[in-house]
Amino acid sequence: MSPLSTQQQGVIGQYECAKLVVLGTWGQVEVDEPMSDDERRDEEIHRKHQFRPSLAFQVKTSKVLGPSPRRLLDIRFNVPATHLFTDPAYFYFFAHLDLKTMAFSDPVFIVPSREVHEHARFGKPGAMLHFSFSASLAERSRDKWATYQVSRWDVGARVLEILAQLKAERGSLRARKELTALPDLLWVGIKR
Amino acid sequence: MAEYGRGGSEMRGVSYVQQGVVACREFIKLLMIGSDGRLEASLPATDDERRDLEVHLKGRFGPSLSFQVKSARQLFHKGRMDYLVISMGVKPARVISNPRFWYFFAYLDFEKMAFKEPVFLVPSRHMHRAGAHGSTHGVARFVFKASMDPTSSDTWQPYRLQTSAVGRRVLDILRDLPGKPGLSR
Repeated sequence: MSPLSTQQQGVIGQYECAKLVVLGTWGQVEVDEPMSDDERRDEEIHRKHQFRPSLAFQVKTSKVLGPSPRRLLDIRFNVPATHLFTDPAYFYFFAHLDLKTMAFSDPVFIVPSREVHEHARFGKPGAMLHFSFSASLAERSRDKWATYQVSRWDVGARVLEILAQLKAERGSLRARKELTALPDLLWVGIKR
Repeated sequence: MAEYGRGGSEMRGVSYVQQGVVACREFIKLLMIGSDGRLEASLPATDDERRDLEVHLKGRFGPSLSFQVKSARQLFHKGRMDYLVISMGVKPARVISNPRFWYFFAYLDFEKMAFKEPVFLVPSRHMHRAGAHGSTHGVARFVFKASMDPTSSDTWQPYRLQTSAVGRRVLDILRDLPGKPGLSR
């Protein structure tokens, strides 16, 4: 095992993730890092010159990867129940940090917080919640996390896609609110 | 005829500030992993002294090194050779040559999202001598122009490194530092 401390590993993971986002979007997005980590947001990401929408990443890495062909990435972490936030704009970024290549192995995982909080939790719920993310990096993996596999080269594109989705959802929500605010509005629907 | 390498319109979307930050962090990664975690890096809150980062041995308050990180987003082609060319202007009062102050030069390949081999760790004293390129409007000019060819024997050859060797090289530099820090211009 490498003597790299967990703090160093964490910082390198965040730097690596930010690099994939910035260069992978050809500079179209900005990555901000909060001064404190009270909200468990490692990276805040937004399109350049836009204030909304923004998305947040919690970056989790492991230096260890299971043997081929499954190449299992196993990351365990604990979260105080008071610090668990679930939001469509909050994602987990899971990756294997390969110390030989000094880069993430392919693929990485970008998983909505709701999915992680619903499907990766184990143990009895208490003041501290326990999570275990166990996913195969194999190309043909069919585990529950396979749909969230993203090639390192596509991280930027995936981030832009998520930002576009968030923007569209915000737009449709606003449109609905504006409609319901109209006076004398009559809703007409079809009974299914 | 000389020409610049890849420089597509997509690449122009990455600002020089973004490039600088990514390059600095990439260098920190090489230091930490390449030294098996023995090196710690700190980022100054301001850049008035042209020190992009300070590096010291973990758990020690003793000697530290300062680095100015310079990256290029394209290589310069001449014939069959690729050259890393980085120029900079520095106010004379800020040209500090010191055994504790080093330059890190690298080509940041945007498509591979990593430094291309090799990279260069150059002592400030050598950079300020061998890279001096006159002055314009009271600003000292320096040019770093190194061949990326492994067989090259240019003035920068002794400072050429593989990325995997950067951490160990910095550990060596820290070990060999002279006892008393000095400041010379």
